Amino acid sequence: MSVDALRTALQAEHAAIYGYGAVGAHLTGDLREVARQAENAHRNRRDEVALRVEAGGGGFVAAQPAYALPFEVTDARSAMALAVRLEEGSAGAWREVLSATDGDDRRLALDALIACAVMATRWRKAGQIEPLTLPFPGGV
Amino acid sequence: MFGPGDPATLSGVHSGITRRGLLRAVAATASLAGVSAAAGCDLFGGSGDDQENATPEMRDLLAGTAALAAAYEGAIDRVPSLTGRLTGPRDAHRAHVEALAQALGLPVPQGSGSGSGPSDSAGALSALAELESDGVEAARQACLTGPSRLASLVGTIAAARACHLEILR
Repeated sequence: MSVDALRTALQAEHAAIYGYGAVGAHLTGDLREVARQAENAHRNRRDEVALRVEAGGGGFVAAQPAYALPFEVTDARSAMALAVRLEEGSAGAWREVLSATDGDDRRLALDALIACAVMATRWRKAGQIEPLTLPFPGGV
Repeated sequence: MFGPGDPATLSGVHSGITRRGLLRAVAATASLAGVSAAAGCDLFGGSGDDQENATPEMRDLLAGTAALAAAYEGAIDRVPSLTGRLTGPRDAHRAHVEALAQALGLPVPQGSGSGSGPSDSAGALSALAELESDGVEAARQACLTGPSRLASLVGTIAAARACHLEILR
């Protein structure tokens, strides 16, 4: 069950990394740098989770060649809205891992949930997207 | 740096792929939630033996959550100009109290009063940030050491508290 949960979270990380390609393409300056750092955080997490999945017998989880975006990204505003969706989606995936894991895997999931939720809030602040935070990041 | 950088090209790629939704990977969340429900746990982690969840650590977390809600209420009373900024986190803490009480099979704690605190904006924000920071760690430890059925709820509470710190900055 633990490996299955991690596989699902890994797929979410793949999707987030892909989505940040569209986010970064529509941002400039400091915001583009924030996007780059956020993307790198997902890449680092993806690599760590991939190793755990393989070590746990879950095999290799490949990224899809492409992912359909939930809406068209045409400017900085829509790019930041997408970034919020990416982070909240990842947070939701990691939230589900918590109850299926313990020990180091739960710690990884918790740190990931917190990191994604905080990043979503930062994008909401930057894009002036209300509400700035949710009572239950990642859903209930 | 960000992978494919040509919006026009990306748009074409995305419009041609509808089966592999970006949200599909993330949408597994919904199906996993269904699994949890089928296993006998509701969305807040409760089940027929809620009292077993009400460990001293979880009772402390519930009391601490109620205290956080009260601290925000007090700050709003003392510094009304912060109302817009603090209402969201205050309401989140209230929602956490309700959810935790339900999951633990305990009554919702009654208000403990708003207490005292700084009456200036900077001081109030700083005091709340300190409480939230401690609260993140408390919820984090409770998530890591608590029962699996409460891990999602408590982890989400930890994440919400971390987000509140961003609002207080």
